[in-house]
Amino acid sequence: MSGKIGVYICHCGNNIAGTVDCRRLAESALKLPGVVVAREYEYMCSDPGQALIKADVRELGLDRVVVAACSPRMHEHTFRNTVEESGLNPYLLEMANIREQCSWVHSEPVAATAKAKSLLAGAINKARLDRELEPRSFPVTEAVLVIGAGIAGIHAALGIAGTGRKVFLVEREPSIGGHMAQLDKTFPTLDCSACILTPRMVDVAREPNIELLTSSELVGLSGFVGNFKATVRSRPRYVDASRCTGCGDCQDACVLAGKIPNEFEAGLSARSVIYIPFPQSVPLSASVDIENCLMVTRGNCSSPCLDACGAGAIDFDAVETTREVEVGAVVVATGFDAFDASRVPQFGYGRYPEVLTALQFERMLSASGPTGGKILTPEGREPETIAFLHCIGSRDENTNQYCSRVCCMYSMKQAHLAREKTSASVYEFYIDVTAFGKGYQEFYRSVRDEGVFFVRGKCADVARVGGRLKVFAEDTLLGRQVELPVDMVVLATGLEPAVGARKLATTLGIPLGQDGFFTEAHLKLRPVEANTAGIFLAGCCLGPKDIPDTVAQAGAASAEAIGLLDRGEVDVEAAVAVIDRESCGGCALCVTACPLEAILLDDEGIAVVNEALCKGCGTCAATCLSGTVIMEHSTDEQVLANIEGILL
Amino acid sequence: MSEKEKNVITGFTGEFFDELIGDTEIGEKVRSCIQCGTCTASCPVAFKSELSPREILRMVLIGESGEILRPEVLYYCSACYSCAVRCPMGIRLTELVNLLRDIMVERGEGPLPPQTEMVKSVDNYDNPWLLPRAQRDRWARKLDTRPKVLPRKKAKMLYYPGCTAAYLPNMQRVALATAEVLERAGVDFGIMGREEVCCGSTAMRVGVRKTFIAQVEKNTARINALGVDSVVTACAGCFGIMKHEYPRVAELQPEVLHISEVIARLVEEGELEPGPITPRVVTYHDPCHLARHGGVVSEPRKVIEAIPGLELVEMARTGLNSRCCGGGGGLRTGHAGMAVGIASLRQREAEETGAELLVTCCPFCEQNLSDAGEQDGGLPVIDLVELVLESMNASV
Repeated sequence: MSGKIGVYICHCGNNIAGTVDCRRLAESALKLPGVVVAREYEYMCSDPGQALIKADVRELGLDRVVVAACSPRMHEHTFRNTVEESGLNPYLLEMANIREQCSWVHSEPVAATAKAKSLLAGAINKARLDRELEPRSFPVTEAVLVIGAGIAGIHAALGIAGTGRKVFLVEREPSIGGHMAQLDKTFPTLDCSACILTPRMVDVAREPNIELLTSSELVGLSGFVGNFKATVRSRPRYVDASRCTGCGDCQDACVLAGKIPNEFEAGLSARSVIYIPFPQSVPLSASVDIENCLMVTRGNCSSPCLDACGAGAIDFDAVETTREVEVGAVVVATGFDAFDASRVPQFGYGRYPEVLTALQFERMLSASGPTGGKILTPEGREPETIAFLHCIGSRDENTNQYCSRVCCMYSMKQAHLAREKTSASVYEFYIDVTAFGKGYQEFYRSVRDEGVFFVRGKCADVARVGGRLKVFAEDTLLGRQVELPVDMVVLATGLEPAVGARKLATTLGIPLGQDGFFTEAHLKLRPVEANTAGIFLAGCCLGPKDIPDTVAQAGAASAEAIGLLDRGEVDVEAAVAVIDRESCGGCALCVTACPLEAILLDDEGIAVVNEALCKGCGTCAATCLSGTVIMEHSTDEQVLANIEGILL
Repeated sequence: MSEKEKNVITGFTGEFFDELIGDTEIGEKVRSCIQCGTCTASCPVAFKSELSPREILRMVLIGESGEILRPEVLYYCSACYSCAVRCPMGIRLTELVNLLRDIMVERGEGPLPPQTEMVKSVDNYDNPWLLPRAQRDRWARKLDTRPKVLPRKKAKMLYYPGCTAAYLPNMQRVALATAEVLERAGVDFGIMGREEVCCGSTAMRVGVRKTFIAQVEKNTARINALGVDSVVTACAGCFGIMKHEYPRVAELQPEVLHISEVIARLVEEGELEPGPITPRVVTYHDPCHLARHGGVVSEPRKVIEAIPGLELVEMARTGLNSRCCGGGGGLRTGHAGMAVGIASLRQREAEETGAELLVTCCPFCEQNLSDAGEQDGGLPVIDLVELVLESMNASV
């Protein structure tokens, strides 16, 4: 039990003091038993604020510190350090949240002050019963799991591997590269996308510290920060990548050659069932499309691919494999999927062959694409008029509310390239132009100067009427309706969470936002961390973004992961559940209640807590019928003392 | 020169908006308008209107009520809901225009003279066609098997033909065909005879709220007392109103169904077997109040596809993106010439499909599209139920 309690009340500028009468609060605290000092200060978290606490601990010999300020989620860590630096055990600090739970949600000063008094009295009452606890630390496994091998995953993996750490790079598709590999040029510099990406892909293949697991998915994750166990399942490629020379002879031989829509070409051309995804694939190896292969699905095919393969690399006896890897950190970089334009039929996608998605147009622009870089209408001629329609599947309550951030820019880039490659008249139908990045406004300006015509109005629909394909919109600047005959329409489709994001979120135990993208621990201050320690996020899995931002985030996530590994060990929460072995009846209610599988029954049938896994949530203690499970720092006595303090 | 003369905006006060619009269900979303023009470009009437839908919305927001609360502005909406389903901000602009009409009428302007006459007729005779109540059930005399009259007899389903199919000689075909189809499919149904009253759509659409509410109250009281499980109608207007507007005023207990939903179910369950009819290529026009307001898109198509001999080809704009015929929202009543002109544009889209017959299931669309065909050429128009009856006759 304590004898000397110090109370510190933060004004938080006007955040608290604007509603709560802090002086009265201090006066009321001083009247409580054991309180020897009660101070108020403008910003208690500032250096001078913390210095007040340290000085009092030393000079007055305080043995408990109570801070009435913001949420402990914000500054408990700060004040625990303050208390520790002044020589006390950090668990002898207690916080009363008089900001989020009081001043921010109440406007009436007298009542708010009364409530703050109660909250503070509760914290003081509990503080008396607080005990010293010792934080424990565990060593960190020197390896990182990177999920997704688009530009974000590639960049993060190379950054981490460069420091000598082992990286397991897991990619669902048979090749790494992601969407960036499909792009022709990148805005605003018009760099060739493949030219800047493929060297990085080759680096991944060459990097001895990276173990690349393609056609693979994460199916399980257990453990805790610094000590994760990840389960990765790999589909069989049916081709031994180490023997495959990438010659492509199997592709030509396949009985279904030219029958399967080629996803890399966004459906504009067809491929075989055994195929090399694209010329610069890494690994450069054929792979069998399990869903369509007659040998795999029916066990019945003449399998000409086997004869065609000079390297003898094809093996239909290959099986799915599952392996477990131990890592200290996880980087999630699973990217996005393009919005499916058939969900908005008014724009004619799927109905009129002249209507393309932006990704299809991108492939058309690419010299390695299905038209060899020529822009051609379905009849094979050069279009005279092309309309680019913005905000398809973005900024729309019927689809996605958010702005996809890249469509304005890629659309203008495509318009520029269309003008360069053809003599077509090019129109951009837009609502607002989102050109916020470095060099973007300049690019926008130059595209306008070149003669791309901008129509301020969202397209309402695309229809073939009177024998001509027309774009219908309003020129909102003139207030006149537009019916523009066109030869080609390109839909600036937005970005959506990747298929499988939801499942992966469950596997990782991290949340998705309302928009379906992963959520960061703090939008501004912890932008590449998940709420679970040791899991980092980068790129479009967090939300739509351009390549510069994606790469910046990937760099940040890898730096965070490296920092974690560099520390060598991780401190884990000292406030964990403990078991009173004498009273445990072995009912195992706590075992089932624990969300982290941190409790097991031992050989004697008595509950045992794995302290490394325990996060101190207290579910077990609340479930236990015999009072056997004690939640440190929130024992029954402490919780009751807190409540008692509030009520009295 | 004064600021008013210069036509300068001197403030964005929006008092009108704050007091009368802002707190309503539709008004709450109006502030989010980004002026993208989707509404105007989707509007079948905007090219004729003094102010476009987008401009009306903007003026509402800044409180320019004087400019908009005028019949010359507000009666250029066919209540087609194209703007409403496409608006990226989810603003139900059709409903906003209807609300503005309510306010304008309340203030003593509008409806247009022919619309006023219709509403008066509803007040006096419970139908918009100036015909006596006693004639409402006359259509049924032409049937070989007279339907049961509720509530004297009991049935599971009420067939509600609505005023147009019940009264107008050229539209009674629809009522007769519907009753015969239901009868021959073995459906336990009845009609209300002379006790049936107008659904109130005519009044609601032109902004005469009082008349509309009176009709809703009469109808819900009478229909609820019948003890039926469902009300079926072959009129898209009655259907949309009863299904989506009634619940905002009073509770209509039975489920509201459109005849296409009923027939599609009968076909699926094998209760109704369409026989082969003269092979024809047909196209289908989605009535706005069935598709966009009512939410029924696939059932009429299922019925057409179930009839052997018919080949369905779609127009450039179909389903929720169908183009309005111009017949609704009081437009045909108030500006008949314009409504038929808009229907002609739709007839052109129908012709482009190469079909020989235009199928729809709304008496208003049917009349308007037929008139357009007579005036400017186009496809013959037929109601879906008539086609179904033809195919049932063929199967015997």
